[in-house]
Amino acid sequence: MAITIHFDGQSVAVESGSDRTVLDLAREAGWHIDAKCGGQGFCASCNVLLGEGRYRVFDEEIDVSPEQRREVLSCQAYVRGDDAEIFLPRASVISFDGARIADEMDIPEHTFNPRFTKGYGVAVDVGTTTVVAALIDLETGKVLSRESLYNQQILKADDVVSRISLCSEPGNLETLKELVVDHTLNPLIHKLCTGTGIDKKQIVHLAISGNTVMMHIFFGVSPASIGVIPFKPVSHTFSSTAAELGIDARSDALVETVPAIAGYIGGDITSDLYVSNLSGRLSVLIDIGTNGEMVACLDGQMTACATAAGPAFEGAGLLHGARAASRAIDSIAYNETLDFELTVIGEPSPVGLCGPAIIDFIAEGFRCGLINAMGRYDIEMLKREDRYESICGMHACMLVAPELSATGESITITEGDVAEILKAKAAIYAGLKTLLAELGKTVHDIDHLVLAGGFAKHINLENAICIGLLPDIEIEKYDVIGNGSLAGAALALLDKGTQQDYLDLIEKPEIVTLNQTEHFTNYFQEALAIPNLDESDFLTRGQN
Amino acid sequence: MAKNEALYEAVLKGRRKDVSTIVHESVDAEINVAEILMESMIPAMAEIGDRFSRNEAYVPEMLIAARAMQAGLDILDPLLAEAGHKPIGKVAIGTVKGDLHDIGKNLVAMMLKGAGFDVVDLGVDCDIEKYREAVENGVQVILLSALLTTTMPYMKEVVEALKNSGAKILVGGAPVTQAYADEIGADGYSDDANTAVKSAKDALGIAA
Repeated sequence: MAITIHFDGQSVAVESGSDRTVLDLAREAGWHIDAKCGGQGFCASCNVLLGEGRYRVFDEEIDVSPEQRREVLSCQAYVRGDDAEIFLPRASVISFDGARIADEMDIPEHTFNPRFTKGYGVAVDVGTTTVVAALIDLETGKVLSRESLYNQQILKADDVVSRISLCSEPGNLETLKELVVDHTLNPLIHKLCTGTGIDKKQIVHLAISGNTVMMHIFFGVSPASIGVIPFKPVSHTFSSTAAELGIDARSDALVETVPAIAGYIGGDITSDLYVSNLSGRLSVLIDIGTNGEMVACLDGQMTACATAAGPAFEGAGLLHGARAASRAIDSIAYNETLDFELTVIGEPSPVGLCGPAIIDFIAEGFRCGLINAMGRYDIEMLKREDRYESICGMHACMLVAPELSATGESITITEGDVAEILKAKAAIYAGLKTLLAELGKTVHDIDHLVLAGGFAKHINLENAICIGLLPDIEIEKYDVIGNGSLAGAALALLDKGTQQDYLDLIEKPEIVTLNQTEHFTNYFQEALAIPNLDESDFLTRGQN
Repeated sequence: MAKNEALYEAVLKGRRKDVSTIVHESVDAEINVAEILMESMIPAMAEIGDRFSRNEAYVPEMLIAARAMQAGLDILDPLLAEAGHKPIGKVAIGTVKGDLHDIGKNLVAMMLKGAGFDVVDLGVDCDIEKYREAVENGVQVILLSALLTTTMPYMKEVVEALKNSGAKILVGGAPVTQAYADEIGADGYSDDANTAVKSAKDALGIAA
C-alpha cells in the first residue's frame, strides 16, 4: 500500500510527506480541492473522506479503519506513516470543465484614438473567480479574439476577504500574484496569440479591470488595508510594465488599471458604469455577486455601496450547489405536481445546481405553494408527490433521483439552502432600497436598472423579481449588459481619452456604508421573506 | 403553555404589528408587564431558538421573529424599568474593531434580550476601551463578534486586555471556531445565536 487518492473512479498514488496537508496531496494527484477559506480550517468546502490509515487532524492523532471512513477538513489533515486511502467527494473538487464565463462584451460608441497606434493591446477583466482577456488590433480597433479561465487564485481561497487574510502571512501575496499572472493571464495571452498567429512581443498595451483587491494583488501590493475599517485601498489606480509584472508581452508594454471607486467598489464597477449608458432621472447599476456592488444616479448625483451577499448565488454553501459549469442544473420550471423540468449545462446528467436554478426553484415553489413566504416547504405536498427527504434533520425536496444524477446520489434542496438564498437576496435588495432611500427615492422611482456581471446574464428576471431579489418594476426598465468590466478595459485601449473620463467618474459617487444608515437593518429583515414583508414593494408580482 | 397564546404566536410567526397591538392591549388592561414578557414573549423566542437548534427554523425566520420581539420590547422596556423588574443578568455585545458587520451580532443581542438579559449593544468597530467601559458599568459578560477573518485577530487582544476584569468573555461570528476560542483563552464560544444564550447563562451559572 501507499498513499492513494481516489476520485471519480480513478486512483493516483502520491509520495508521503508528513509536512503536507491532505489537501496538498490531492492537488499533487491532480485534483483541485475547493478551499474557500484559504485552507485556514474555517469552512468545510475541502471535506474529504479518510480511509484506512493513521492521520493527524487538528492536532489529534486518529486511526481510521477501512469500515469506518472519517470525514475531515483536508486542509487540517496530515497522513502519519506511509499508507493511506483518501476519497475525494465530488462537492470538494473544483471542476474546470465547461465553465460558463461571461465573455461577451458590448463596446459602446467611442472615438478611435488609441494611445499606441501600432501593435496589439490586451483588455483583461480580472474577476475573483474568472479572468477574461480580449486581444485587440490597435491599428484597426478590431477585437480579434477572446479567452477565459478561472482565476487560479481560487485554488488558494474563494472570496476576496479570505485572500486579504492570506496576504497577511509572508510569501502569500507573491504566491497569489503568481497564480493570477503566471498561471492565469499568461496562459490566456498564449491562447490569444496562438489562436490568431500573433507574436506576444507585439503586445504593447494592457488594460486591466477588476475589483480593488484583485488589482492590488495583481500589482504585488498588499490589500490588507481593505480588510479593515475604513476599507481604504493603497491606491485607486496602478500602472507598470509587462517585464516588471512578469507578463508575456513586449517588455516595455504599458500595463494600467481602470481606476477604482473605493475599497469594495472597484474598477470593474467604474467600467460597468461607463459602458452601461444609464438613462432617465433615476437609474441604477447593480452587479450581483458575492459582493453586490451598486451605483444609483439621480439627475447626475451618484451614490454607491457594496453589500455582502455571500457566495450562495455561486452555489457555495448549498448542499448540492455547483458553479455554473458542466453538469450544473441551470434552470428549473414546475408546478404543484412537482414534475421538475430541468436544463443542465453540457452533459445530460447533473451533479448539482447553480445560482440561477435555485432562484427558479424558489420562485416556482412560491407560486405553486410548495414554499411559503418564510421559505418553508409544504411537507404534505412533498410527501404526496414522493419528493420528500430528510437530511440531517432538515426537510428537503428531491429534485433529481439517484439513478438520474451523475453522483449516484439524489440532488436535493434543503430548507437550509433556501434560507441561504433568502439571506443573500435580502442583502442585495436591502442594499438597493437603502441606497435609494439615501437619495430620498424608492424602488418604484427607478427609470432604468442595469444589471452587470456574469450571474445576471443567466437569471430569469421574472423569477428573480418573484423571490424579491430585484425590484418589482416593469421588465422594460431592466437592461442586462454583458461583461462591462472587459468592455471598460477595451475602451481604455481604444481611446486614450477614456482614462481621464474614468478618473473623473470615480470622484462622483458618494459611498454609503449600509449598516451605518438608519434603514438597512430593517430593510434587510423585511427582505428575508418571499418576496418581502413590506408588501407595498411587490404589488404586481408578490401574490402566490 | 404561554399565558397569552395570541402574543406567543405573533412573536413566533414574526408578526410585528400584531405583537405591538397585543402588548399595547395587555398594558392597557393593566396586566403585569413582567408577566407579559416572561410568560408569553420569552417562551416564544425560546421556542424559535429550540426550533433553530433542531433545524426546524432558519436564520431568516429567527430574524423576523426577533424583529417582532423588539417591537414588543420597545413598548415594555420603559415600563419594566419603572416596575423595578430585574433582568437575569447584564451583558454587553459588540463587533470588534475594524469590522462593521452587525446582522449576526444584532440577532444574538435579540436572542439575549428575548431570554431576559439586560443587553448593552456597543455597536460595531469596538475597541478595547469600549468593552472595558462596559465592564466598569457593571456588565458581567462581554460578547465579541467578528465576521471577517481580517478582523477576528482583534478578539485575542480584547481577551488579553480584559481577562482579569472579572467579566466573562464569549466569542462568536462566522470565522470563529471553538478551537480559536480556546487558543485565545476566551471563556466561551457559540456558533449560533441560540447557543449564545446558553453560553451566556452558563458563564453566569444560570440554569438553562
